[in-house]
Amino acid sequence: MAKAFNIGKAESDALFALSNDVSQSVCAELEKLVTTRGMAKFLNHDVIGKGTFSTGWTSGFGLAESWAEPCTNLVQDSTLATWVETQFAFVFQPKGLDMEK
Amino acid sequence: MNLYLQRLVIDHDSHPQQLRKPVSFKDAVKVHQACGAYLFFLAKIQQIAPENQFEAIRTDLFIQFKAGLLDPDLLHIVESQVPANADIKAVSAFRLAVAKSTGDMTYLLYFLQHSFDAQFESWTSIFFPLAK
Repeated sequence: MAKAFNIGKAESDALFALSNDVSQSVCAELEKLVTTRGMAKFLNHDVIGKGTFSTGWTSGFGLAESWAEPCTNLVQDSTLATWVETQFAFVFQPKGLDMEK
Repeated sequence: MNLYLQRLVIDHDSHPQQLRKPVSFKDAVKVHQACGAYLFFLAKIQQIAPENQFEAIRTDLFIQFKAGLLDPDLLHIVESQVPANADIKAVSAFRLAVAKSTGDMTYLLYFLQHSFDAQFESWTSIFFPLAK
């Protein structure tokens, strides 16, 4: 894929993950976020390429191996996060800082 | 997974623009583990909390989780305990939640007066100068 699109390994891994392992809703959300915030300042390609957004991926490895199950990405989206954003958006938007930029 | 994505966004947006940097895989894993452990303990609290109080408890915990205040305790637990025997009171903020859930008034009053207020006062003092 890297050769076909003439891109680096990290980018091609990210592209592969997005097209195969990441759910459509998360892809859409990532696209929106990267469009508004810019990839260069938001995420390294590794974060996507190594599967942290992929369905079934777990951060439970190494010392955290026993937490593999609670730390696994599920298909279902949690409604908690959306709820947080609507209820507590003010927490990180103090006056005097332009958070939109 | 949505919670994890939201935390990445919140962490990114909470920094001034000139201090923002892309999240590395290593940092992302930490955030992911914190989210997993947080939801794990939230489910435990839901089991013991009275139904009419859970929403308020969750609200309090979310404010702290969003700010990253729970991360050090959560990550310590993830690396030092197993889920089956994980001590919910090892996270200081959860002690208050458990006290609320079980009606332990002595614990509740202690934390209301000392721990909870102190945490928010310290954050207020950080944010208010920026607002002026």
